[in-house]
Amino acid sequence: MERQDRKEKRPAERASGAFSWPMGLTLGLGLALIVVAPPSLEALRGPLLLILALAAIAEAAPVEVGHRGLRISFMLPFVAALAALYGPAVAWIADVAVTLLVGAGLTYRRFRRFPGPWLWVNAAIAGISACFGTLGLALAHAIWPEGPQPLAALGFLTGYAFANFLLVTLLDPDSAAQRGIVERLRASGGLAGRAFLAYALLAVAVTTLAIGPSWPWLPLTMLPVLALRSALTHRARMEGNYYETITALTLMLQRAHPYTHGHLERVAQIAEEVALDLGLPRRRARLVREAAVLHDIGKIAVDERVLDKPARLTAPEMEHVRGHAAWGAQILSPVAPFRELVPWIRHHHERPDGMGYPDGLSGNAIPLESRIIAVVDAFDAMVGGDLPGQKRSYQPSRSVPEALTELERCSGTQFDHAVVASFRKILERGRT
Amino acid sequence: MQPLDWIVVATCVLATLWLFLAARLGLRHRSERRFDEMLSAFGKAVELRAPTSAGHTEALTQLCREVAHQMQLPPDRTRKLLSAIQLRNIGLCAIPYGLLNGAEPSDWSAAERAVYARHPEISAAMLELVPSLQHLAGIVREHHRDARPAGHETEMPPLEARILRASEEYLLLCTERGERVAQDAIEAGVGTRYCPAVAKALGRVLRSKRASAPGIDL
Repeated sequence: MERQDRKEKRPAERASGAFSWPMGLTLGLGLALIVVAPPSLEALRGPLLLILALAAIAEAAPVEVGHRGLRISFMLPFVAALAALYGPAVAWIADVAVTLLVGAGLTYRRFRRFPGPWLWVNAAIAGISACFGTLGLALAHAIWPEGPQPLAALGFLTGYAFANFLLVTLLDPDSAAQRGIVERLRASGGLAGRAFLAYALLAVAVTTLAIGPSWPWLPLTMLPVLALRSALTHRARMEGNYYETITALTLMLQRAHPYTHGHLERVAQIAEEVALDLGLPRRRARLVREAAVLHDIGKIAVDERVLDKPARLTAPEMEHVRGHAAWGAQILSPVAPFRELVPWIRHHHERPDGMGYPDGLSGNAIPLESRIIAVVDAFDAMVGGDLPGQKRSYQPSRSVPEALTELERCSGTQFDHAVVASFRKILERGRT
Repeated sequence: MQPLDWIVVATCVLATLWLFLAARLGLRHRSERRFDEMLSAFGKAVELRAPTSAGHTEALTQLCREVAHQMQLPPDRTRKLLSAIQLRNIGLCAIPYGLLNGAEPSDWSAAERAVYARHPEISAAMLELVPSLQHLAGIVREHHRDARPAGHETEMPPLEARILRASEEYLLLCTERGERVAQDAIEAGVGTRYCPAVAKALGRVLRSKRASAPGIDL
């Protein structure tokens, strides 16, 4: 009974627990910054309040990108301008305070409750990043002591963005459970690089306007923020639609044939690993994963009585079941982002000896991606899931060694040699 | 400002203009097109599972668009209605294949009818699981419901669902029994099965179609 009473901590709670000392460190660093580089009262005039207000507005309109809830906000260029104009202590206070206040406000507006520990984690990340921004600022001053203030803003922005990118990527608990550090950094690098360029241009523009008498024009810098936000929103919507289409089609298939529950996800995960092991680029391996989730989508149009028949199928029944490969391709072909996947799905039952279907392709004429899906799919069909509903009705399930032996027996005729070898390697690596 | 400052500001203005144009013209249009493609994929899947239900979606879309226009439905609600048409039957994937591809619906037993009648609820439940399609669940759930069901006179299905029901049943009856019978059936159901305002708009659309192209086959 002890196990039932013990509550598992959620990832955010674990992360906040692990963050108690960095939070203390951040606060300490912030206080140290204020003591070492105190903002003079003389300096605190001009557009300070205006930049602060713009930073808060930019933070209050984040865009959710990706299908795992990653949010991009647009406050950093304004914080970098504050650092260049009023010193790092002001930038640090502004960054942490705006993160906390706006974060609390947004959460309350959305969920009618105050935020949990994750807000403190965000504030700590902001504080630590601002400290690294200070190092960047110091480096810019060291390289060009009398350099222009926009250059100082760029120095701060570079240090901040570098630390923020590392922290956000490495502390993502969902991603950490699935992928290695280098892989995670590489996956997030593209978006972070593009965001950095846009932020750099904006930080230079904000600082340039704020220095001289043109600072009342500063609100105009919200226009690029709005433009960037609008472009990112549309991109995020398109990406969201893509993943939701996969989810919804999978749901349809699961309603038609409940045994596919679990099978598709298992096949997808291993197919991606095999694709990477065979040297396919990362983007292509991800597409293999998505194709593997959808490879049996044509079974929506297959009679469940035939598919679940606990006996040998008649020739017309076999012909009916074989239709699923071409039907799957037909279902997906109207969707432009799926067009690359369509031939892989159409040919996932082709065989190297040319005895497969629907087109009787052989050898290398069969896309490698289809050959990968064929092997992983066949293995999972032989072994089945852990639940009774996930076993195939037409044959008893086999043990892992038995299924591997069967794959190797059919290697070269039904399955591709190289794919079977790579699959075995991955399976053995997983066991050890 | 110094010349360098002007260059910075000008670059920022150009980047902003480019982003606005890309977002408003390019990305927005592309994202709408992607959404429509996604709907066609669902439509194709349903068509393959239940081939008898296929075929009249295009005519239904056209008729619903015209009824919505006649009723001055705002563009966003018209778009919702047209999206719901493509998704209204996705729940058929949970209805036995044998029922959908076996005997004619007129020969179904009461039990078989009851099984088939579950599909709007299943479709809606599936849509509720998909964030970008959740807003269509209400229309899809009620697209076979009476405009004024007995005992629930105050609860009306959404207007989009009422337009969908009247238009779809009109087209089905048209195909099975001819235009005259279809029109009579709609008129007979006004106030109970069909919403009076929708039936009126549908009548106007059909009259204007006949006037502009006599003998048109819907």
